[in-house]
Parts: sequence; C-alpha cells; structure tokens
Amino acid sequence: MTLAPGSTPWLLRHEALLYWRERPKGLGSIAGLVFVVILMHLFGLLLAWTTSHAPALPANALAVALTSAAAGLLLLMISRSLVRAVQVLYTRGDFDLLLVCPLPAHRVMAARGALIAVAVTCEVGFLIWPFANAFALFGNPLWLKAYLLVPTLGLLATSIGLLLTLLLFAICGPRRTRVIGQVLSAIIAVGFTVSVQLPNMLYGPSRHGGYDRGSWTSTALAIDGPWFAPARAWLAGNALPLLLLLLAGGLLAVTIRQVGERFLTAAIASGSVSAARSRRPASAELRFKANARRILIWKELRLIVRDPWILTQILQQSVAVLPLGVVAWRQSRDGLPIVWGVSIYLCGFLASALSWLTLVAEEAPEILATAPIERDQIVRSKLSAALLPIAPLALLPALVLAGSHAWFGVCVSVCAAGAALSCALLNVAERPPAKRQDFRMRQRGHALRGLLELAIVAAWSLICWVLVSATMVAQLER
Amino acid sequence: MSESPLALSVRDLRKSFGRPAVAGIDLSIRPGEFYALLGPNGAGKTTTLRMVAGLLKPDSGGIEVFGVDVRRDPLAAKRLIAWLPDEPLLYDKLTVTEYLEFIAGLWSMEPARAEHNARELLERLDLWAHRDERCEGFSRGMKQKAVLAGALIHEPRLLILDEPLTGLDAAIARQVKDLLLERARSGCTIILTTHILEVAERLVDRIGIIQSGKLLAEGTLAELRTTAGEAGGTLEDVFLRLVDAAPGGSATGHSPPLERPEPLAP
Repeated sequence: MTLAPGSTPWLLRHEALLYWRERPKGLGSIAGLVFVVILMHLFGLLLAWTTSHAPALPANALAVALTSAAAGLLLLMISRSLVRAVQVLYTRGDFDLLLVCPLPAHRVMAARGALIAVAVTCEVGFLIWPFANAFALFGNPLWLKAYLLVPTLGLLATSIGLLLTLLLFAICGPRRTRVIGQVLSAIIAVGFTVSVQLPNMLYGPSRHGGYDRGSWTSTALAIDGPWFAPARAWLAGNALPLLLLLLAGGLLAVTIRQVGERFLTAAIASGSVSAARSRRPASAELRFKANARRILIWKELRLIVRDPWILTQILQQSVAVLPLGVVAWRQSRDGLPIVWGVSIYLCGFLASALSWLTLVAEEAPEILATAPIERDQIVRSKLSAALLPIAPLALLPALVLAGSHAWFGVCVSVCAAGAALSCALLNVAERPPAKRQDFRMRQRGHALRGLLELAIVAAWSLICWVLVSATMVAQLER
Repeated sequence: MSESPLALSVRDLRKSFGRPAVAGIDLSIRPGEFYALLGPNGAGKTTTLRMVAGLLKPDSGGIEVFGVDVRRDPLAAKRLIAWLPDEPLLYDKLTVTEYLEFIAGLWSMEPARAEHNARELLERLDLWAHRDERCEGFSRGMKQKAVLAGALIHEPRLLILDEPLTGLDAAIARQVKDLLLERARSGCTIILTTHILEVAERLVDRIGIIQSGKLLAEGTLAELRTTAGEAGGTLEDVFLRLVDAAPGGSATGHSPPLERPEPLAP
C-alpha cells in the first residue's frame, strides 16, 4: 500500500518503523519475548485454575476491584506516558528534521502521540492480557474486556501525559522539566501501588467473597455507592466500553490538535538547553589525588550523583518494591517486622542498577582501555563504587532492629549484602559498552539476566527465611 | 625489552574483519618525528592506530613502542602512549579539572606534577577560566581541547591522534596545531590521521599513504612528489595520483568502511 508522503499515516509508519528497529535484534530476543509471554500465560492459567472453584465475586465487589485496578493502571500509564512525552522533547533523534520540514505541527505530533499511546498500551497490555486470556479460558469472558479497557486507559493517559509535560514545561522551564518530569512520574507510579491496594485497605476481605462493607457504608465510598457506578455500568454491557474507547481516542486527537504547536515550540526550546552552561565559582588552585583506585571510585560516584535523570530513573524503578512492601507489611505476624525483608530485594535491585552504570555504561571506555592499569583493578574499583552507596541500606535493618529483633536484623542485613554483591557481579561479565541514557531499558534483550537477578534475590530471601525460621524453631524447642 | 631506536615499529601488521582491513603494514617512525597517515575512508588508518594504542588485537604482526612489545607488555607500552580519537571522549558530568585529575590518576602521576601540567595545559588551551565547569555544556572545539589536555597531561612519548582537527573552527584548530608542533619540537613523537591534507602538508615531517590496508608510499612531501611524478604538485595532487594509480584504487569511489567496533577490554 502506498501512503501519501507527509500524511499522518505515512508519518505513523515512519514512527512504527523506528520503534520496531529500536528493539533488540536477533532471534534470541524474539525467543526470549515469546518465552516470557508463554510463561505469563502459564502463570495466568495456574491462577485461573486455582480460583475457578471459588464463588464468583458479587457485582458490587467486582466494580470496586475494577475501579481500583483501572485507577491504578491509569496512574501507571500516565507515569509512563509522561516519561515518553518528556523524552520526545529532549531526545533529538530525527525530531529536528521533523521540526524544520514543511508539515503541520499537529500532524507531526499526531504521529508521535499515537506512538506514545501504542507503546504505553502495549507495555501494560503485555502484563494484563495473558491473564485476561487465561481467565477467559476458564469461563470468565468478562476478562476479555481488558482488550478494551487497556487501550482506553492508554489513550486517556497519553492525553494527560502530554498536557502534564506542557504544564511542567511552562512552570519549570526547559532546564528542569526533564528531571521534574521523572520525579513526578515516579510519584504517580507510587499512586498505582496505593490504588491497587486500596480496596484491601478500605474494606478488608469478606467471609462471603468480595469485600467487607467496613466503616464506609454511609459515604460515597460505600461498596454500592456512586464512586463505583461507572465501573458497574462498564461491566454491565459492551456499548459503554466501546463508547469510552472512542471518546478517549477523540480526546487524544483533540489534545494533539490543540497543543501540538505548543509542544513543538517546547521541543525547540529544549534543544538549546545543552548549549547553556552552568557557572560555578572556580577554585584558585588545583588539588589532585594520587590513588588510581580512589580516583576511579570518585569518578563513578560523581557521575551518578550529578545525573538527576539517572537518579530519578533509579527512584522510579525502586517504586516497584512498594507492592512487595505492602504485602510484607500486611503479612507481618508474631510482631516480626518482615517488611524489612524488602531491603534484600531493594539492595539487589540497586546493586544491579548501579553496577550496570559503573561497569557497562562506561562513557569513555577507550580512556580506560588505553590507560596503563589492569582490567581487574578497574573492575574492582567500579564494583566498589556501585556497592558503596548500598552499604548503609544493607546495614540499616541490623542497626534499626538491634534492640527488638537483633538476629532477624542481622540476617536481613547479611542477605541484603549478599544479594547486592551477587547482582552486581552479574554485570562483571564482559559485554559491549552501553549508553547511560539506555539505563531505563538496560534489561531489554537480556530477559534471562533479568530473571537471573530475580532468582538471586529470591534465593537470598529464602536463605534469610531459613535462617530466621530455624532460629525460631530452635528457640521454641528450648 | 629489545633495544630499538624507533618510537614506533610496526612489522607486517594484519587485521581482518571478514575482509582484510590491514593487510601487512610496516611502519618505522623515529623519536620526535611528526608523522601523518593518510588514506581514503576505510583504508585501514584508524584500525592500524587502534592496534598500536592497544584498542584492537592484531591478527598477526608485531608492534613495538620505544622498544616495548605492545602485545607482550601492554601496560608498559600504554604508559608511553596517548590516544586521541576522532570523537572527543569525555565524561559530561565531570569538570575539566576533574577529568584531568582522573587521567593523571590512571597514569599514576605524582599529584604535584599532574597539577603543574594541568595548569599549564589549561592556560595554554584557554580552558583555565572554564576549569570548574562541567564538560556537558562545552562546544565540540572546547571538548576537543579538553581531551587534548587529557592526552598530554601524562607527558606521553608517543601521541596518536585520529582526525584531531575535524569539526574545529579556525581559531581552535590553530591552537591545537600550535600545541602539537610545540610538543613535536620538544621531542614527542606524533602520529596523526587526517583528511585535511593541507594540515599534513604544513605540519608533518613524513607522510604515509595507505589504501586497502596496505602502505602505498611513504616519505617526505618531496619524496612523495617524486614517487608520484608530481613535481611541484600539492599533497592533494600527490595523494590522488598515488591512490588512483594503486590496483583497484580510487580516492573518491572507495570501498565501504571495513572497520567495525569490537567489544573493548579495558
């Protein structure tokens, strides 16, 4: 099919081609993706099978669950679309070319906006749809509505993400928008965790399935109150979900039409940010250190601390620990603060992230390759730089719990340190240098490495659990 | 270590990326010499120099820097060499001073000596006023000057530069050329590749022309003129004549680049 050059579909095809080419190449990456999709389907099938004999949720409880899940997913997708919209502003790529070409701004933006919507929808759909398929197979066809819900939320989130980006740009200016956008995105992502857990927090599980009415019976938050009316209507038929999908698409089209020009103006303004230099008072004398190891460690720490984009990325990805924390907090029994066990995961994740930055994302590998210094020494220094900031976090459980649950605290600290070291060592294996701006997608094409990291953290958590349980059993026997 | 009067001795150097990129090059460069390696794109210049700097492993052949075998004792050889690639290698989030401190640390320099050299270079290259600014806001020319300062801070005996003047404005290019000439006069051996033939014509003592991974001709400009039969011709005339006359050679319709990146072993 021949598309008219310069038309919106033609631009969309260009965007889609770029998006496709960005993916990791090779048969291995496709095989890895297929493997993960199959794995998620299997997990979904297992979950659907184990819950297939449970009584069906009452309609009002279903509406509560749907509202909280949709709100959570919307927040997650807004967070993702905000990141992507900010990226559009600051990652030049071919954007300069599009900005100088004689095409209407809204058409260029329509293509970019559509790509954001598709990307955000696919990212979340990838997590939701395998479960929808599995539950539909086990006699819950209602789950197939996820194929309407996720795109609706994706389109809505993209509109909100674009508007939020412009708002930030207007308030904070081109220099700060990138970082503040990342921070805001992380905060919004926290909302996802809270929102998903909200029904459990508000109502608590009922003995008859669904949620207990709790103390909210007389308010708008009552299970059958007006807050959940849209969800009840959405669940009742197919017309409303379809209408909402069309409305969300229309809203995105109107948003792009209205703000496209302003978005491109912002993109032009952001292009001149790198040319501006921040001035600091210069020191009168030069004071150099002599020790190569110390200099290497300092260099790595400076590069991390001075990069707000990297820091916010780490913060944003650390948010993933929150659901685990909430679950652990709810599971706390016998006064044992098992929520501290989350620090094992957090230390493992942070060590993996920081060691990737220090070992894999070396900005000037040729300097190190031509320097008269052994590779082992470089690797050791870079590992030290990655693990140093994590050390206080690993020590925290032992220090905080010293007075109340000393042995538990020590176990958690030791296992957190073990997880950090093991995850960091994964990045020691030689591989082609990566760019720091690829930090967010560092696991792309390395699905196995990601699974290995999870396995390592799980193994250290298990070791911690065995150590603590064995001690408790021994105490009981005494 | 064998005694060698040469700053750089390359013997039958070969490297292949599926097709031969460097096909048996011999080079002999004397201490204090300013040498230019010229050739069309994909001729093997950068691959040759990357092997000398220890960034690529040769398939075969020998490289000695001031008598030190680069393959047998790479650390000793690296102490003598500085490598300046065509794209400035910098850490955007470091200041120029921190960058120079980092380089000096990697080469295990005495802090006092490193501070003295850093100050001298920063002043010489008009970077002193910018010493505490992060490199991320620098223009390409300023970045190139910062990288050059990094290459010179540890007083290398052999300076290898790959396209050092590409993309620089006239004023910065003059600063860089003056500094290179100064270093050459003070005994530093310099090898550079460049496509700006006027630079090679004015700056260097000897020129090597390579094509398809082989050394076509070598000598002073006068010697090359004789070889090419271009008496009174410019280096450009000589270069085009030699490259076009080579088997399968064309200075304009060259073959696609052979070089491709390899994973680096720091």
